[in-house]
Amino acid sequence: MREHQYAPMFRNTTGSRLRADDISLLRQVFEARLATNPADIARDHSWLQPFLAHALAEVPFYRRYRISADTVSPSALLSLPTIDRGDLSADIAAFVPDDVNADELITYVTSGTTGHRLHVPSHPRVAAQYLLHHRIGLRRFGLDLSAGSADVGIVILGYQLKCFTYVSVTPMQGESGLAKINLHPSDWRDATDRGRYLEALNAEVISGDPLSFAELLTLPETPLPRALFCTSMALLPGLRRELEARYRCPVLDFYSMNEAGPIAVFDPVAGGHVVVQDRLLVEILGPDEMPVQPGERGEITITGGFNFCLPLVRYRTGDTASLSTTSSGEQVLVDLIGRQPVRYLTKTGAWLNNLDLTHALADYPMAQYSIHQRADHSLRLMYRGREEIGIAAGSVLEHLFEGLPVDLQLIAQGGDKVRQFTSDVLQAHVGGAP
Amino acid sequence: MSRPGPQLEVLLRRLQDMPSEFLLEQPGQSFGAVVHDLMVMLFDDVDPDALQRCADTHRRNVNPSASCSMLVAWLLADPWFTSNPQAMQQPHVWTALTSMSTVLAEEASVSAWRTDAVRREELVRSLLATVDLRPSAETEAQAQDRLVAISSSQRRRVVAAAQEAERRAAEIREALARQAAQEAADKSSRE
Repeated sequence: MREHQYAPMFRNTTGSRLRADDISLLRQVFEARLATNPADIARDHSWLQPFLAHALAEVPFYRRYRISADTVSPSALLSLPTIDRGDLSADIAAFVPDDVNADELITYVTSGTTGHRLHVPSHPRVAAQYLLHHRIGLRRFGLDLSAGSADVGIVILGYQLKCFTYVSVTPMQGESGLAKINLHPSDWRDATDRGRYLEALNAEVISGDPLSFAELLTLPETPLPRALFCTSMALLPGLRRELEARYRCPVLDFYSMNEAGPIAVFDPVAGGHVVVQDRLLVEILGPDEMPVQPGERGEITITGGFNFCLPLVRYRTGDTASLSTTSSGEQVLVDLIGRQPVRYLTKTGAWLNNLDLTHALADYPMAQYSIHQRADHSLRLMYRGREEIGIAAGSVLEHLFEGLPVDLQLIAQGGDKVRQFTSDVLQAHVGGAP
Repeated sequence: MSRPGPQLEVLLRRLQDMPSEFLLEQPGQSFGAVVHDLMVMLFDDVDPDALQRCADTHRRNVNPSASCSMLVAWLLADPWFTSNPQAMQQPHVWTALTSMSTVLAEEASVSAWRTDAVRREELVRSLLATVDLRPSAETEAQAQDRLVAISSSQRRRVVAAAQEAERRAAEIREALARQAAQEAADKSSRE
């Protein structure tokens, strides 16, 4: 995959960190989960009590609630406080259970919708279970994966100025190939190689976000995967229809976040995003942090999840939806409003991805920031942190936007609900209006 | 506990007499200001990163750790400390205001730490040990024995637990920072 005549430059080298014992454990998890009827999973809440008891005893942050792990019951969940990304960002180490071996941690760095920069603790076995939940999503569409060692199982697309790129294999999918590539022309010997390379890889699945898929659509070649996975940002209906028509395959829109992995997949038959995890409880809360009436819109709040390095107890995601259930009892997030992809115009008219902004500011330790582009293309950087850092970050943005004016504003303490990327510029929202 | 500090009785009395207004209804709101003023009073200076971390640790009123931290701040504002700031090292003071305070909050309610005589003594002795001081009238060995005696009836010993919490948090932060430069290839999508 690296040596192919049309291959891009791969900037990084990495590989699966699963050990043999991880793989045998994961095989059991995959088999058991894939053999269980979704309706049985939806009805089974027996995991919740042991999960809460473990979290209250072993996780330093939840231990401070001073609620006895022996007496906690699932019905007591409502009396527990909620947490949000600001809590994780303030003291992430306090959320890692004492029984997790620090040497085995891996991490994903994320800025998220509200701009709290975060090192999300994870584990190779956690990362490997993304595949399981993607397969559960595929099964809703009557599909499953079949790639083996001679195939490319998945290509993960980015479209950013700077992007972590590599080739690897997926032990839990028959050692099939995996490539993470950047469609930005600067990563290629010749921009016209991009489509040819994708056609040659003939990947079973192409995974990306609305911004990289929008770029994929501009290429003349039409690779034919069995499915497209859209993750990390909201997929707007116009772009979905275009992708389905062009690549003649289902586009699975996953509601997914670094903190909790793939949470739900959009299924038009169910009328929303159906929860794909088996140990995840979804609540919908109002601004008063109380559950809303059934069917009302509110903030998606989750408890549980498969990331055992970061057990979430009533984690307010910052995304909103209303909740319904399918006829078999599965939870459905209706009219989900999550993170919207936003692009920004430079002075010379080039588009920048919001991820490019994240990368450009990665070395500036602001607790939180947001960037807004006005209709006249000028910018506002709002930040929480030290003034000299904010000023330095503002200069980086001025440089990145080729001299467009950037003004600075401090975010008030305690104000933790900030949309990170916003724009009044026409066509800043890929695939339709936000 | 290597150096003699204030009189135990003075601090016990100070804790008992603490005005209840000092226990904030909404710790997040003025907590940072109180800690800031304390550090300026003690050291003429405050490390903004350490202050931010301390405020972040207690940022929400979901647990009483901020109030426990206020108990500690109240004790550290005693004239003995403000007249002898050189007797303490800044990192030890930050440990008392952050890790030790969260351990106190895990162990008992704020009011128990103020009103229960045994708890009160445990808090004062734990604070002195955390900032590496001992009661003025005691030798190092006596101070050590009495701290162990008073806290051995509890589920955990506050000083040891605070040090362990600090060590564990540092270990995790280091592991995450080390891994942050890399990205594992096991994920079949990105967020």
